[in-house]
Amino acid sequence: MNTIYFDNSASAIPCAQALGVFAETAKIYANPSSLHSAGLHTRRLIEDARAKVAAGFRCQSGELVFTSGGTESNNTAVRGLAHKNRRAGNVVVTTRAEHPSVVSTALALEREGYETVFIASPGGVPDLNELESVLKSKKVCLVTLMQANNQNGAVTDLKEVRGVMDSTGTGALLHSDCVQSFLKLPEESASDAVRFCDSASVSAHKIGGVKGTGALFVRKGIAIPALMTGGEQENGVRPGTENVAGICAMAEAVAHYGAAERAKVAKLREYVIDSLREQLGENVVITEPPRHIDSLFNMALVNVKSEVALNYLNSVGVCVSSSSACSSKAKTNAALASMGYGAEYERSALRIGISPYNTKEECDLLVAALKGALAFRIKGK
Amino acid sequence: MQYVIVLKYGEIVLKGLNRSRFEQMLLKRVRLSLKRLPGSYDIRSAQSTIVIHGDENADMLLAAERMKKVFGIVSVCVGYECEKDMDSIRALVREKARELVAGAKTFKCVAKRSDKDFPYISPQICELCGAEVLSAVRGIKVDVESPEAVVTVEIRDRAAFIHGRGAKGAGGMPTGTNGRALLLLSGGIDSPVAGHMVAKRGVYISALYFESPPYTGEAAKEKVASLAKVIASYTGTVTLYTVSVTEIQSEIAEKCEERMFTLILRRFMMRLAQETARRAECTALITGESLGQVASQTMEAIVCTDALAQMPVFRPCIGLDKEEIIQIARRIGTFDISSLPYEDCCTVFTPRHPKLDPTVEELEAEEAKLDIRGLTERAMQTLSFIRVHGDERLNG
Repeated sequence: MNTIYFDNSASAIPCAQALGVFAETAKIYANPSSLHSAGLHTRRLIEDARAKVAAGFRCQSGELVFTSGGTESNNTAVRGLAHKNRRAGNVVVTTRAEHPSVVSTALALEREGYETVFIASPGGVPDLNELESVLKSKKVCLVTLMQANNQNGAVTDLKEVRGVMDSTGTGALLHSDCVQSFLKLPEESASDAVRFCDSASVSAHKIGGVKGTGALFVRKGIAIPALMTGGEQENGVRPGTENVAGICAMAEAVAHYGAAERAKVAKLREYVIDSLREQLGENVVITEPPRHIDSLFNMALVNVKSEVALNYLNSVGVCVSSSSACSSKAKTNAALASMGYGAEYERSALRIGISPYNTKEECDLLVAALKGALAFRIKGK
Repeated sequence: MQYVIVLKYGEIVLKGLNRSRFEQMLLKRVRLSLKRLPGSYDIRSAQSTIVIHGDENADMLLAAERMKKVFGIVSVCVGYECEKDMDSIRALVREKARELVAGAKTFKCVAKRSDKDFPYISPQICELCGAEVLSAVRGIKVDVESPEAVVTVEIRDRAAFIHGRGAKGAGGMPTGTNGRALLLLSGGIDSPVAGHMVAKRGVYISALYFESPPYTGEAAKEKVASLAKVIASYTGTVTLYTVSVTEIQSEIAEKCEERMFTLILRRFMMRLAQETARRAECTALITGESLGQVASQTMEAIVCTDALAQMPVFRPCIGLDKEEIIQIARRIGTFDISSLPYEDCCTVFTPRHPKLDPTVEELEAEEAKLDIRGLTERAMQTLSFIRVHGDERLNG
């Protein structure tokens, strides 16, 4: 059975060129910190890759630290910035709709005397009025808000967030988890993260790279403390021998995710949503936030539990997820619950993640499979 | 110096004329659970004790871990062997004293003299060996009431053994000495505990899982296989049967009164389990029911499911509180697996207000709306099985 893969927001179909680069660079064994020519050659590969990823991010090469992925980037940023900016206050402001690597890290900081304030995030977009009042009433060291929500794709305007922060005169720093939004936003807002944030996280395997690689943008002039000790790699922020193949593959994936890919994803999304509305009618509820990325959307099949839909789709070879993959082992999805869609929707919520490598035919099969799952409705449950 | 493992058996020693049958079965179980380990092992039994020697490749500590999961053994001691003369014994105790007391501040010596011809009596052995420990371990004191460490010297027919305080064995009776039973294994906390409790009494366990695709998925099935694997780590191998009840559930949901969904389904499970048991050559069923825990486990509900029983149904958790069941689950290693969240087939169609005091007549009246025979036969056509081995290397 062929797999029809629409779980690209959990981990995307890799880009063929990136896989090619990965296989090639995996053969290079010299340590990039070694001083012989082979080592220096490896070092150059990493620096070339850094320049490419920085170009995708619209930042300078020197502002980019390679990590093992989004979770590590978020941990480094949230912990690091909170520690660094402790003088400004002990309050970390975020929302329950954030990825667990942000929420759990903020909560872990409470053991060190920090306080976490969760502001409301209806529909996955933080309430900026509440942000303003928290900034005015508390001593905040860090605000951390994701750019695109990983459950429903809702986009937060980081320029507005920065505006609110500036208007209050807060000394807080701003971090953004950009794992879902990286390369997925239109040209005019592509540089928002690096323009308005002090740090931002991205991950390679959401854009066609391989797992185990990510990056953290840290604004020039901010010396972020490292989570680990034991080496001076990545400006001392991320000790350990670099994942050369993963980094080079990430750069290649960045180079192959541009306007054409975004346009293709937008087209496929429109096609899937139109077909679903046309074929499933009132049996489907689709969540489309006013500002959103095109690569993912959230939906519910009325009266079909997420897990049941997932099992059925799996049995016909279609992969989607019931929630963010990082939290699918939890009984309830706290992030989705915080967005206010109601218990009934939550029970049936599905997340569809679209890649530029999906095809129209696959979209047809996805819609047909979702229609098939309606056979397993349980009324009143 | 290579370790020696000394195993003590429990209840078997109370057996009369057929004791040797139990001993033979226990030896077989010991042999089987060492079969895949590196090296080779010499296993001998005498005087209610099994002694295991290994060759130079043997991993005696791993072997000892395995022995803790063999039913029929009450204690597992890892120690050393030497000639049966007092000088050798004292020299060995001196050499191994620090290891045997393992950092304890107090100890006592215990001597077991099953060879009554040995020229020293037990108190003398204790005194001489205790003196060796005192001189070899600086600062240690004797405490005969509640010592932190115990150094045991056993004088047996062929050799002497010294070892520290033994670890507790799994207890019970050797697997295979008490027939075969079919465990109704859901993904919950209770049923694996029930399976373990009955297995401990020497029963060879097969298991039956009711799936309900697509209401239940692959992850739930893998969870059940992991639970079966834990049981198999005690009994060797578990044959895990699977029957789909999707059609039965859909029919019940469509045709029967909602309040009775769960009980009608459970009665179907009873029919399917007995048919599976017959095919699997099992002569009893095991369930994880605990009286009054949920609506389908009230006295009245159990009367209704039991009304269909044509073979004994063992319910070892019947008198246990949830907390007691959880304690056992944690000890045997099933709790964390059972706590994974996947749906099981009972939770999908759970009625909002289940009937608490059903009667067999009421249920039969509801069931009359269904083609019981057809549904049961078609469900049995979905029967499949996998063999789950306790030894990781055999799965795959």
